[in-house]
Amino acid sequence: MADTAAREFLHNLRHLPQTFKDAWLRLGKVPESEREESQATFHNFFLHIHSVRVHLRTLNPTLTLGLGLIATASFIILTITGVLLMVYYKPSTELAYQSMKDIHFTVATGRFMRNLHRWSAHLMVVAVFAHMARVFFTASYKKPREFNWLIGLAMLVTTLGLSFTGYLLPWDQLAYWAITIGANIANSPRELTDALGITAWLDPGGFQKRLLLGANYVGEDALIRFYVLHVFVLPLVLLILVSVHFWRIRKDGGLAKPEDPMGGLAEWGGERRPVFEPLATKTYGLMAVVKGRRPPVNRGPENTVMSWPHLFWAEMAVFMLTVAVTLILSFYFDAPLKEIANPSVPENPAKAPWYFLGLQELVSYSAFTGGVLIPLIALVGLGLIPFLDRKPGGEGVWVGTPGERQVAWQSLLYALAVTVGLLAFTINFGWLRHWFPNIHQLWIIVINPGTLLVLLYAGWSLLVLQRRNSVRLAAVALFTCFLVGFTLLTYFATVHRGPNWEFYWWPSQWPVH
Amino acid sequence: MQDPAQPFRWVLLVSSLLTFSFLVASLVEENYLVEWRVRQREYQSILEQKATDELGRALLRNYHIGLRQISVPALQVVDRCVTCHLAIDDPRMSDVRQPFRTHPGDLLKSHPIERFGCTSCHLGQGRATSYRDAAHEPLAFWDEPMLKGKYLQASCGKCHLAGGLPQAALLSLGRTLYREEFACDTCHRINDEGGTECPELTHVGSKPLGAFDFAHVKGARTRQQWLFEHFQDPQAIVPDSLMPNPEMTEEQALALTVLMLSLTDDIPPFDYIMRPAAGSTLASAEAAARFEEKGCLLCHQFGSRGGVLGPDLASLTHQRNADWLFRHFKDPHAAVPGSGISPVQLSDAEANELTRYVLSVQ
Repeated sequence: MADTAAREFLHNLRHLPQTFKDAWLRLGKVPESEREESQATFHNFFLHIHSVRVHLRTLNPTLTLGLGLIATASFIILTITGVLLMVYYKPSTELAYQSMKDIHFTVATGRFMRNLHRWSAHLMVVAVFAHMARVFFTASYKKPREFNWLIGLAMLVTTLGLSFTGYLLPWDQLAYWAITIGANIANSPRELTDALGITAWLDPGGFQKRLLLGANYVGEDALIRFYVLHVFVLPLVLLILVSVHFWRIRKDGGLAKPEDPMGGLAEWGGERRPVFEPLATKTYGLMAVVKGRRPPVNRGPENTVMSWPHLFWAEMAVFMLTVAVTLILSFYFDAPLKEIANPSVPENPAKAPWYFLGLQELVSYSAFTGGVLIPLIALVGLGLIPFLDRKPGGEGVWVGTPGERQVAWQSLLYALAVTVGLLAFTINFGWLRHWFPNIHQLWIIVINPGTLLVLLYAGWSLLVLQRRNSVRLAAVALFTCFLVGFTLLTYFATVHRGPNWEFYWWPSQWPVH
Repeated sequence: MQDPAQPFRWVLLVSSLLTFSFLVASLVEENYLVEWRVRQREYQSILEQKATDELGRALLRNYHIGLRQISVPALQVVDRCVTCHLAIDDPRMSDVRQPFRTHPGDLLKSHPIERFGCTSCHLGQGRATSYRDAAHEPLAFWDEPMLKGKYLQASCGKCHLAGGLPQAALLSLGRTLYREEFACDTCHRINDEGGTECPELTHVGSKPLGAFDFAHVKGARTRQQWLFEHFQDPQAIVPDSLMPNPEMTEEQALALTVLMLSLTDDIPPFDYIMRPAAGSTLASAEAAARFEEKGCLLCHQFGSRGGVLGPDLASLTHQRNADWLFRHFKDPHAAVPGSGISPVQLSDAEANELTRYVLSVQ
């Protein structure tokens, strides 16, 4: 007996590598049949969120431009480099800046890691914005994807929050004054309460600012708050949102696509083949009982291919491309690190992080407009899109409904013209305070270039709604105006605003200080 | 049949190769090409040439490539200069090229490097590990480029507080000029002495560059350049300045610039301060003796010495002026109601002396 057990033990020990491999990889080899390929997808925790077959259109790079994946890849890079930076970073006003210097000068590849973190953060913000635009212009928010659009919006806000909270951590002049500006934007409801004379009783602006900073100024309390938000709270929130977002993509039937994009025949390799006809007696895809239309319910798997390996090649390609781009950027360009934060030496101009510069431009007209009103209108407006535009059509096709492309181009030109015009007017002729020095602030809160832009954009959208008799086209008009306005104001505040927020053609013309 | 994933495989291949090559590049950069490693390999070959005796061979045997730093917590100094300046205290290296040359003169004997570090005198960015980042030359976003040549005397003034110092002729001249020739203190104030009408100069040597207006400065964007040009013609630098043009020589402007640069907020601890010679107008060795003798240190922390029962006197000058201190020495309980201090009998002269002493050594 003892002899047998000992032999069995030795046998098991000898075969440990093989049994371990079997237990871990399950299939234990490269899948050869479609059955094995579907198992490879289905039996893997990380892959099983994908369906086992994927529509050929999903693999078309011009449909999605891989933007969601780029954002995800950036988030993964940020998590990894962020954890590495956390090992050395010390969130205290006394030590933060010194620890940044040590990361630069003594930590092996520390500067490189910080560069990676910085550039992938910017890339992530850009990718998230672009992804939203892609989803909008391919009408991919329509039923049943309304909820996922809202999740996406929450992710946009969380991403901006992550980037903004990280901005303070180096504790240099750039960080300090950008966050001071950001905190003042949070304080901007005060413009209205001051104008109404009720700040003493009702002060949501002051409350917001103190909630953000833990004090009335950017200091130790603000730093630790931002740190906790940046390294724990917001990443966790984003992780949960990302999971729900991906889950919903699957449950909503994969990427949005038209009813029957290629007719009754499936196209593959130039050949058109008959679509697979499902047997009436067989149940397909029990595991995919989801809303919406997708291959396995009452239809043949027309124009689909196995996710393993095709989709995974595509996903890995986008992921590696993102890694390569951030690596190359980080190799050649160092992330900025200015002098240590000094509350007594204001940066002039003090500028918020770039994605808030459009808002800062609006705040320069009226704090309430730029800090509260317009962000609120924009967020609520974006959130309402899938609930106000409910007529099916155009899903999964760039500017796919009739007349959409034309409206998009017209709106682009219109928004460019009115935005540039209004900016030029404001710079050349000033605004109400300039003409009527004693005017009540309420007038400026109500009538300023920011509110006027909103009216011009909304008016244009209403015109399209009436003329074209299509909610989708009105939405396209408004969204295009929003994108143009956001981009132009961001560009304008980045390049053309100098000391004291005055207009300069180029930063090289700023007065020496 | 064409594989729909074919283009992605190409993208994956190319981006993987790019990723791999840039990772390898950064690995090589970090472990082989980074500037300080190159310098340390050069130094190794110098060590090999010089390993002619037992000592030289021992030094070579113990040599290793790696970051080096001098940390002086008392001065809040972390200096990695010695990562490249490897032979700063090795007299055999007085003839080799920089950065390997021995520190000139015998200053390191009286100012041991373990106690003073490098940047407490030379300034620059001590944490940096490359020539450029160490701010040997003026560097963007670093307010303290290295002090060079005669300007270096400014650093002596941080510890050698008052009076003349033969080794720092310019600093001494600056102090004389400030008080006697131009009587700057009729209008400007340093600590508690001088007028209050004009900008205070107590910490002018640490004023952030961003707080200076460089619009009219012709030379480099440094504190010393601003001060130097300003002394020669105040209105040329600050157009609406009320300061009378002192019409000074270049040497006088240089001396006063050195004096200004010595007025930093980087105040060394008590035991670094060199007490001025007896008879100085500011303080005297007798006052220091009196401070001990009256037993102040029994309760009060002053520098690195003293008790913990009373308040720490380290930041006294930031909170109290001479007038208050004098009143306190005369009658502590009147100055601080409820104070637990033991009664001390001091004459007016003694109280004056202690006041000046306490202020002067801060």
